[in-house]
Amino acid sequence: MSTSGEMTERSWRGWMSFIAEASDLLAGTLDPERTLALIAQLFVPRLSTWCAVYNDEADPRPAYVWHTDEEQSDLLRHRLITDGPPPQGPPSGWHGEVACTIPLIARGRPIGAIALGRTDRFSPDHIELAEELSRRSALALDNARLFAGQTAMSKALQRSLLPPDLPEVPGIEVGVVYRPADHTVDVGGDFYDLFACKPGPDGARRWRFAIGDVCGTGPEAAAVTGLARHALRILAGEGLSVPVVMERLNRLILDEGPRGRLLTLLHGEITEGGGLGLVCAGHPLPLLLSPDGTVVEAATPQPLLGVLDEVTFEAGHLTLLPGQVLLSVTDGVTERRDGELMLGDGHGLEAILADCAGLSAGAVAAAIDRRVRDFGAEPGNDDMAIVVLRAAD
Amino acid sequence: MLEPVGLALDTTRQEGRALVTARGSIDLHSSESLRECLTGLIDEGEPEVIVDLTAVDFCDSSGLNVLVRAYKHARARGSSVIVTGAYGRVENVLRTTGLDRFLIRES
Repeated sequence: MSTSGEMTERSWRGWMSFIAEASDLLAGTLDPERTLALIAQLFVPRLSTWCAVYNDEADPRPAYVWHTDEEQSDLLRHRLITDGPPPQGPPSGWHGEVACTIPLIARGRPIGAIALGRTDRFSPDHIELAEELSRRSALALDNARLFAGQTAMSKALQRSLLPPDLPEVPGIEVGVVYRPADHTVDVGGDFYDLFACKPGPDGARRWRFAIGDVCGTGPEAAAVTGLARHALRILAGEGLSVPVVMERLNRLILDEGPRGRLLTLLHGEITEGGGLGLVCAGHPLPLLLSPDGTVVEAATPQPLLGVLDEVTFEAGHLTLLPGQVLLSVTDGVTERRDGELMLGDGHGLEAILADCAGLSAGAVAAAIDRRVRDFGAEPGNDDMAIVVLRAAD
Repeated sequence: MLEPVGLALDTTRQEGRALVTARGSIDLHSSESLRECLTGLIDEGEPEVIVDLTAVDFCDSSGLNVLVRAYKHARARGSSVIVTGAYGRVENVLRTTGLDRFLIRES
């Protein structure tokens, strides 16, 4: 950028620091709407009396209009819509003011435009600075749009990894909490599911539930999560036993080769009357809470999936008696940190669950969620899932 | 020499085996250095790699992933990776994930 010589060195330095500050502000927002507003607010009042930002050059309606005199905003918007934006190129007379339109170009593509107007003239320096600021604005707006697109994609992907709704299981209350790791861009590897499956040979109704955690985050982990969740639904829906489902899933993940990820999974079958058959493959062990507040581990550890091909699994059986609670979590709960301490240290989760005696399934899930969030001041960088099953009294 | 943040690795070789002494936490940020170290030793043809976790206070799933991959990589080449000294959280996570039966040799 070279100065046309109209400015003193001092005011030029002032403008350079203004451009630097503006760039910092623009870089600090990743929301497209807020970026639009910020762009207009940066131009007004230092470079122009008013500014209108267009999302799309072909759309005659400005997405954002900002005027030093707020009462003029509506009239200005109306003029811009009815007469169209001022011409591109050097500023020229427009409704008694001087105005021009500057296209917003980012990465070689037009992504919108800004219209600027002044009650007095634009000096050549003003124009040069406006062009400089519009280049930086265009890049910031493009980044914000790309980020918004990626966030929307991550959210859609994350949603697809969770069940659309949970079935009613007679005699069993269900409480679920799911918290993605945020960071808005990353898709976590945690998932849970609960669904009805084929009646058993005795005609009794059966349901399956699962809670799992794929090692890592991002689209690669999410792909394995999707594979595991859908395969589990199909295999279990066909009535394959819990251990056989685990063996098939293990095989399936190993067959993915280098794309495969480690998967820890708790999978169980619920039969009418509260019967549970569980396999806990490398996953934090489920805990069983009795109404008197005693807590015990409800399964024995078996190897996680995606490691070795010669693994076999065995289901453990128990009956959920009236008022008893089965708590299943992912390691986002037990590995929640407070400095050096982790929530799961020294049977920390058992102690929290013991305090939940007498609560409904939903209240247990909410209580655990709250205790996790209270535990560490720092927000967790892992996602977490909590599934609570409680036999009705 | 500056130690890598979070995890320090020290390798000694003796009588046909390599002993990797790890100190610190094995997590998403530090597990890559462990992966490079173990892969390097296996590729150099060390018949047995022992990872001493006595001074490791935390190992998350990315750390497990590194240990498992090293274990499988070694097995495919006819060598072995063994973990010793795991205690507390690290022992718990190995037990919970069922990896203790592959990675830890009963003494």
